[in-house]
Amino acid sequence: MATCTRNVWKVLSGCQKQLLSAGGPSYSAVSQVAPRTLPIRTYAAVRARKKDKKEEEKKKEKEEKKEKRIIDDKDRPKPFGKTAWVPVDDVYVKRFYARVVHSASDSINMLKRFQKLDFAPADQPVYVDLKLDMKLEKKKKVDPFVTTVHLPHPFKTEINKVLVFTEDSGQAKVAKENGAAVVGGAELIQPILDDEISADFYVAVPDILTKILPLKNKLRKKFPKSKRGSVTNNISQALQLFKTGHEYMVESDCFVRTQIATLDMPSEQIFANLQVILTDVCSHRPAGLGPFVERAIMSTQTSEAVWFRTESVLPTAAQTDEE
Amino acid sequence: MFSCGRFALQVLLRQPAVRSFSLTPAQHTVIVERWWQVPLSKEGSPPRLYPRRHRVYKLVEDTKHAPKEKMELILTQTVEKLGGRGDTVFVKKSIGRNRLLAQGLAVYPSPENKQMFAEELRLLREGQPEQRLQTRTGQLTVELLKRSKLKIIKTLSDDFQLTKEVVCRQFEKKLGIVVPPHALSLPFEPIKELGEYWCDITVNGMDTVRIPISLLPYEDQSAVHKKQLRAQRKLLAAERDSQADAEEDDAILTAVSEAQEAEHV
Repeated sequence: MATCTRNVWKVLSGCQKQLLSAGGPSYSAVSQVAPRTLPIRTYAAVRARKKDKKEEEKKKEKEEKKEKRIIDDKDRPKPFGKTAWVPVDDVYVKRFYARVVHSASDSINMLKRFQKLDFAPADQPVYVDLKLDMKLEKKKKVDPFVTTVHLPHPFKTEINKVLVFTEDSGQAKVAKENGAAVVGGAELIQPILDDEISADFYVAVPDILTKILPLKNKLRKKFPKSKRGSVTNNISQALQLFKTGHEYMVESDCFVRTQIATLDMPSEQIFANLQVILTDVCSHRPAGLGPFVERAIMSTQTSEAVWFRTESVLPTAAQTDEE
Repeated sequence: MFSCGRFALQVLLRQPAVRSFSLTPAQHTVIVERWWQVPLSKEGSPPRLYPRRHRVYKLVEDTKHAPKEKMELILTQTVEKLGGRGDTVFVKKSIGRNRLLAQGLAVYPSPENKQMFAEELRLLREGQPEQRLQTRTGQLTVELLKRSKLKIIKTLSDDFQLTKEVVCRQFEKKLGIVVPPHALSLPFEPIKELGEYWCDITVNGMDTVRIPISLLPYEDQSAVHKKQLRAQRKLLAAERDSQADAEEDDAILTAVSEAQEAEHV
């Protein structure tokens, strides 16, 4: 009985819905309105995207969260998340105490000790990893640069291949004498574009620059630039620099990662190489704005990273003040 | 007659109705200043005050609106989330006075107290083992060492041998625990063959823990080799799964055929 009545109600409501949703002229007794012409759409309209604002807000929140995570530890009685600045016991767990930053000479000695204790090969390369503060005044930033440095104690066995662009035959002879791998003029453009000839460094005479412009996209960062010293008339000097020079570049906007030496060189030589590289890096920003290097790490191929201080290595500021 | 200053003072010192029954009244200092200047009196005699004039005050600062500063205390016992004996901590004044000082868990950092704890620290480093007290961090390190084991992988070089220095370096690399050579005792020096050994570590010269060391054969630790091993293991696992499926299918088939035979019979 109950189910019959329920079904009757369902049928009735269904009929009502049908009558109301019929659209066109409705035949119910109540309404006798003139036939309405409702719009008949034969296409489907795309719904407007109202979700943009929410997505933007989420992105902004994520960026703000990433920026807020920099915790300044210097004024606290103990660093955030650790038990103390310095451990009290002789045997302690490293991760509960602040990270130790050594001096540069100490870290070189530590790396040598690690090599002996780990029975690792002695001629492995020593890498240095620097994080730079690329800000200049008033929202300006230092451009990521690529430079070549002449190391006092080179560790490379092979000489770099240098390609010289010059139309003048006299200059070409000078280049050949000084040890350029390939010398030529505009005729070298096609082989380079076809990838038949390639070199580590490219030197050019100022007159040829206009002709070599099609190679700019191919060579990108290696294209001769007067700032880098690859555009000169003094070819012998440029060749001297680039044949034995060590090139390094700034990756990911603020990191410099290069090999500076091998571990079997004496500590003084490694220290001298490190000093040369650091002075060269710091010359790319005026010294008045504060320390350029935020953090510096030294490591070898088989060891862990050793954080070290760059203040002891950079000699220029202190000496100029004293003078 | 109420002057505005006095009225303000009375209002401030009145207990607000919001505070609950069990809490003590807010006892913060209110700094006030006299409205009228007190005239200079003769040398040697006290200033003459007239209450009608000189008891009129104006508010300078109510310290309960100033930010609450933390107080410095030195703990005498291990307190959770704060530290162990001898640690200098900064806590809220309410917690410091009502809990730490009241229950004797901490003392004020007066010069005498600071000297006492500095003396204790000095004894820990230089004194006799009987005079020393184990620190909270030392106790936790002992607990950690009791649960740990050192696994050293032998390298391919000919002159590989385990000495105290090598074992200390391996502790630092593998377990992250810094052990000075004087705290480690290695009875089987020098170790050259594979196998199981042990060593003793003494924390702060007081508690000694025996830690098992196992010297394992050479394994390539590079990422490329590990990827290859992982791929091999996946293949083996896939083969085993397919074999297991095949066996299951065989078992089902045999069961079905037996049932059919039973029906026929």
